[in-house]
Amino acid sequence: MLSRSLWQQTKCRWREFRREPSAFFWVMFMPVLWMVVLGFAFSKPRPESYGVGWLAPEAPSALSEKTHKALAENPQIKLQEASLSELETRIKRGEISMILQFDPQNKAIYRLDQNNPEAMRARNFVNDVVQNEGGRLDPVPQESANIQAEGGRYVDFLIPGLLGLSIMTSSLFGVGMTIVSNRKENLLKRYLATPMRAYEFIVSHMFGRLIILVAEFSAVMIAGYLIFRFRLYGNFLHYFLFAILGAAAFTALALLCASRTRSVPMISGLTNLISLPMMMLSGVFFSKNNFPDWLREGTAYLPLTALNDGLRKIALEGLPIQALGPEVIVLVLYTVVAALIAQRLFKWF
Amino acid sequence: MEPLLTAQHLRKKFGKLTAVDDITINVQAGECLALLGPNGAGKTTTVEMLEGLQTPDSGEIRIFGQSLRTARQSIMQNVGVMLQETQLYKKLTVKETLELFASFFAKSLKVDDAIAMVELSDKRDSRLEQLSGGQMQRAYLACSLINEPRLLFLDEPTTGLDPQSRRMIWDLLQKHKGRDRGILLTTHYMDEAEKLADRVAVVDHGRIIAEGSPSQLIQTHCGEQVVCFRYLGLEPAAVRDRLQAHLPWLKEAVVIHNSFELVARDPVQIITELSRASDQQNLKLAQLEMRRSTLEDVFIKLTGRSIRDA
Repeated sequence: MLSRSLWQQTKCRWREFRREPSAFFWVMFMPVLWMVVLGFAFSKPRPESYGVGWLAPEAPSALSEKTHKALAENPQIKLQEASLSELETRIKRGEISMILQFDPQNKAIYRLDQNNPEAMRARNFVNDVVQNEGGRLDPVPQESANIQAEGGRYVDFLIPGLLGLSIMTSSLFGVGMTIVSNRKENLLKRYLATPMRAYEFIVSHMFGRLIILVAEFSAVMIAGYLIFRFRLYGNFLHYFLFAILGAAAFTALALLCASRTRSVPMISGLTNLISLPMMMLSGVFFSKNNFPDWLREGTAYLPLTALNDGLRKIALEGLPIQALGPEVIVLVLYTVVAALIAQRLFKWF
Repeated sequence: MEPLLTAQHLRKKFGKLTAVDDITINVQAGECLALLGPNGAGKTTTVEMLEGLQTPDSGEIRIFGQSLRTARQSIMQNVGVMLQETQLYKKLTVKETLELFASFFAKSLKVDDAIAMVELSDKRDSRLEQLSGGQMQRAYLACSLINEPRLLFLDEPTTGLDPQSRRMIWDLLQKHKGRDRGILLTTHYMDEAEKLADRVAVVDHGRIIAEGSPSQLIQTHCGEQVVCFRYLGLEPAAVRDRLQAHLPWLKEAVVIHNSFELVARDPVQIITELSRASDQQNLKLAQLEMRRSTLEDVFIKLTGRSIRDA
């Protein structure tokens, strides 16, 4: 099955990758670097803190004095005192998000942009303090207990996304650039002038991807475990299989992009054009829950969204691959359709 | 004996441009045929059709007695190819590159033997990026010889190389030539064609305008000698005006770099007439010399221009 020529070409793919220091670094260390930087930056979610402007009341009262003291001592509140115009400037700068002033009747007046969710949260938080100081008694007793959901940390969310991102960029750039520069340098033409079978060349690129996938997959998994104790709740084999499916989809897309291009800047631009929107819209770093519905539904059909969602469902929710109907279908469709078109369009020189 | 390669009435158009316009050639076993012509003459298109990389608009190609259209896969087992301006993987070593190429063929030389053949044994484990231009081209030649091809296509094999590296490639090709092997070479270097080719086909504007062994071509079209001369401080056009009436043969001389070149069957007679006319007109010769004709002169004679200017 594995002919001598296919074996040699696959070895060639690996050597190209291994001996290109920038490619090697990009694939092996970038995801780990992202993981470390973002994982540590967001690993200890501190309680949200609010910038609040205090506008001194015209007629200070016992209540306003008491409330001022309580607000100033609250660790989640950064209280700033100034004139109204100064405080309004600070709102524009984002240093505070709301202004509180007691009027002569001891009514609390809040000034804020009610369309700004952060300002609304600040208002509610401050209002609770104000009402408590005013003597509010809650009719229903309550108590909050802390639970840490399994796989619920930010870094648990992040790691599958980084794997997806890494698979996308390494497949798109790795395959695309290699083929285009080989074509430009007449090497593809030279291969065609031998009895080499064309499909072996393409298959060697797929095998090459598979080997590189193993490398980047291991890098992310090992670093994730060592640094953050990241572990899968789903089946390892399913996780890996799904990653292969993702790599196949992006390899097919790369072949399509590279099927006729002769210039390296052109393929690099084309690849960026495809990968940048997905990097931002496919929920690599942050959940898509804050997107408007139309955007979330539209981006569901992007290959990176399917890959990331699927990887997360296996890694975090412990689902088996057969439970990932839509994600599998999206990736298979991209693979098959892109590969078929690429085969039609492909030019050796 | 049947030729290794026969190609009949090849034509190829790219849009409006006719790159190859009815070319018929054959290569016999044991022979090296050179397609000689300026850049853009259609040499590369011709060779690429013979290699099966381009499909001719019309015409028939047979290699080793089989049709290239139907039997390309088996024909290529015994063909070696050196394309113009090919870059092999720079990150592979010489040995790895040859192992890769060897794997494409059912039968091949031992990789180490191929490396020794092009005298790169000491560079066997160096990456291609560490080789000089000449060494790189020798490594590429080894890739083309790895299957001991009966028919070898070389498209401008020494373009851009220094004289020493060119000589080395020529020596290697001389060694490769053999009773049952054929070479088809394209070049715009006259000395390369004269050194390697048993037969030369002069190509211009997609056609073969002359064909024969180098000495035959020179004999037929030029005679043995060329007279070159130049006048002090006088443009060639002005010289023509002054001397045309006295020297009827002057209209056949071509101007190359401000100097007249004339193919002469009787050079002594020409020189005598030339110096007499110059004396009478009071013109001072800056340079007067006689040299052996080359294929370059054949090309000039046939097209009226130098192969480098074309």
